[in-house]
Amino acid sequence: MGKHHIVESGEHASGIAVKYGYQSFEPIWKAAENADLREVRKNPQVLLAGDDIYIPERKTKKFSVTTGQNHTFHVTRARLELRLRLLTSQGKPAGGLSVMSRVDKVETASDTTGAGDLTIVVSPQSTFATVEITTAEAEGERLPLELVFAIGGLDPIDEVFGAKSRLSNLGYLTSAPDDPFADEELELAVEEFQADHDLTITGALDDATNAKLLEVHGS
Amino acid sequence: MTDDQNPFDGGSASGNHPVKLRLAFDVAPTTKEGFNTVRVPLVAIACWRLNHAVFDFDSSFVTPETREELALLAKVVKANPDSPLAVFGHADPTGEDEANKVLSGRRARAIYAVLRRNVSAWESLFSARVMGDSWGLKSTQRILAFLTREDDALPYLDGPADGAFGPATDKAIRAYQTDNGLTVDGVAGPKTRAALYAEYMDAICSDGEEPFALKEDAFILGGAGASTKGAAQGCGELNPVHLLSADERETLDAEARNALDAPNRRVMIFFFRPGTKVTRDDWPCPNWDEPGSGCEKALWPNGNERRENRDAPREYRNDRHTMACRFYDRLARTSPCEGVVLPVARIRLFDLDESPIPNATYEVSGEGFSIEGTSRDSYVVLRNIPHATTCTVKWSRPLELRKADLLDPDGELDDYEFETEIVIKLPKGDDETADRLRLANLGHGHHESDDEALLAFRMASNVEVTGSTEDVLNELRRRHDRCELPPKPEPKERA
Repeated sequence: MGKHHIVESGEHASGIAVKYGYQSFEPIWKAAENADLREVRKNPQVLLAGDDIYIPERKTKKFSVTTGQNHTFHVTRARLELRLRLLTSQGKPAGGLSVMSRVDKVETASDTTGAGDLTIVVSPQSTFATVEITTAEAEGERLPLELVFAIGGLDPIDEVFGAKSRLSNLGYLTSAPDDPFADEELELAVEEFQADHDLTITGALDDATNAKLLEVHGS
Repeated sequence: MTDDQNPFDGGSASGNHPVKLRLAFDVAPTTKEGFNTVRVPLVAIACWRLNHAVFDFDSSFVTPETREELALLAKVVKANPDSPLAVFGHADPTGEDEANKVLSGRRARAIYAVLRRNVSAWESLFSARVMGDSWGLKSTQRILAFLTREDDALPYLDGPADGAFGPATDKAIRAYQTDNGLTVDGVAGPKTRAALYAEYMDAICSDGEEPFALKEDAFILGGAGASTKGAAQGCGELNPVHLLSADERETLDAEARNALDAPNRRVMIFFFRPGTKVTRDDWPCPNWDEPGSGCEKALWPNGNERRENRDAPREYRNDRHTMACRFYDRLARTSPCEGVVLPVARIRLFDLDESPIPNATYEVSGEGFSIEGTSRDSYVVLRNIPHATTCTVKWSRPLELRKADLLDPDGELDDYEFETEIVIKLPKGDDETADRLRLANLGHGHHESDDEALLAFRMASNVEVTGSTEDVLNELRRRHDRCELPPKPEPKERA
């Protein structure tokens, strides 16, 4: 018998899989019972709090082995990554940027690629990653810019909150980080996004805008 | 506290933008091809606006009246020592776009030059007269009427600054030349002007006691050679904060129109997040003396439509669609110096069973303000609260629902069903005090220790914690600062 899992805020497929003893979320996601969810959510890493996900019973693999010998078993788990594409304030790739990334207390110094890409390996249980942008000329007095990433915090695109997060990540909804409910801020952010991507300026999150937002954001 | 009581009157101002130095992003991890695009935005954290009235009509000369405003600027600079800044000049919509671009650029340049003590920049503004903007003898007279002689502390010029050369002006120039070891000829030539400008700049640009000036690297893109791109630019008439109605524009005489247009004639300075670095390519404004065509890429596609005169007058702070330049609009959007009033507190109105009440009627009153109304989404927004304050909130479910609950259909109803007193404090930053305040705001303020409060928050909000206290704190900040409600435990009685 399988179980049902109700997704909580901040959860993603890989984290849920590990919680139920799976090495990969594929068998869960592909279960026939989750067909409707697959249809609605498309991306298992972008779920909504309240989503009902079916967790099939784990199949136990049996191995016949001989006694008196050592046996090595390999468990494969897909590497979970946080892939970021950093842009400058004018939306150009922030290539060759020196950054210090931190996840689960592990610090890694690296540079972004020419396209501004940065990949951080995370564990399914990691909830936060931070990226500190260090500049060569940075002096003691200057505050480094710290970007905090809530892994699994991204809601589906067709949820207003999900669209807002993407607009915010893309720098359009910057004016009031404390104020996600302000409709007028959202309207201006949407207008600006539409202007940048040759969409009709309506200020509303219509299908064309959401599709473009998903494409540009990358997830 | 309504918008009408906003102190914004088009005069000078300074203030802080509501921003964070840590930026939070919601992202999705991936085992396949997805990614998350994240823009590191240019964020203005503080601002200063120069009162429109301190410039003479059509002139970029920095008048003595600027002194008080510059003292205000000194305070903002002191409070934001590592924030690079940029100067933006604006003109009113009277006249041609290009002429206004030039004038606003020259005004920005003039202010930049005072801050940098760049005497030769003033000299070129004086000598390169452009259209209406001609400093002329009048500017020299105004300086001489402001500066005082060392021996008797009286102004050099005892007479009107009218641009006409007469005996009083001759006497004043000679006296100044004598005091400053210049050739005494009664003619204010380049050398005399240079001495006058240097002394005058120190006199008007001080923090109230000591003169204050800025280094080149105080400006955004500063220290990048001879060009002052980024440091000072003119926006012309692209970004009005007050738009006349079409009718006013047509029928009013020049003087009346001029008065209404006053808030648009301004010089703004934005201070950016400390350590902000931009490249030349990332700065969309042309230099102060370059043509307005350089702005084109930064404009809204419907920019001209935004700044057109319509049936009713429009204010940027209410309408928010009056500016043509997107780049500037973004900076101004949260700026108290552009009159924008921000919501700083949101109160959500709940029913007894802890569910939000749609269409709740409410009344919120506190020190010097009282607002009432109906809230569709159950939120009440309190705007422009300057400091921590206590207020009384009264609210009810919609009348029909209350009537339906009455046993006696003709029974009397109280004005409001619920009433509570709330203390509004504004948590800032990620320190202990701010976190304590967040806990209190989320209803965990009555615990004996912080640990206990944190535990209560953790339990009440279903935070599963595998990591450190810091993880819980991050979650607390996330939920509080985004006004996120703890998810309700759902019945999980399923197979």
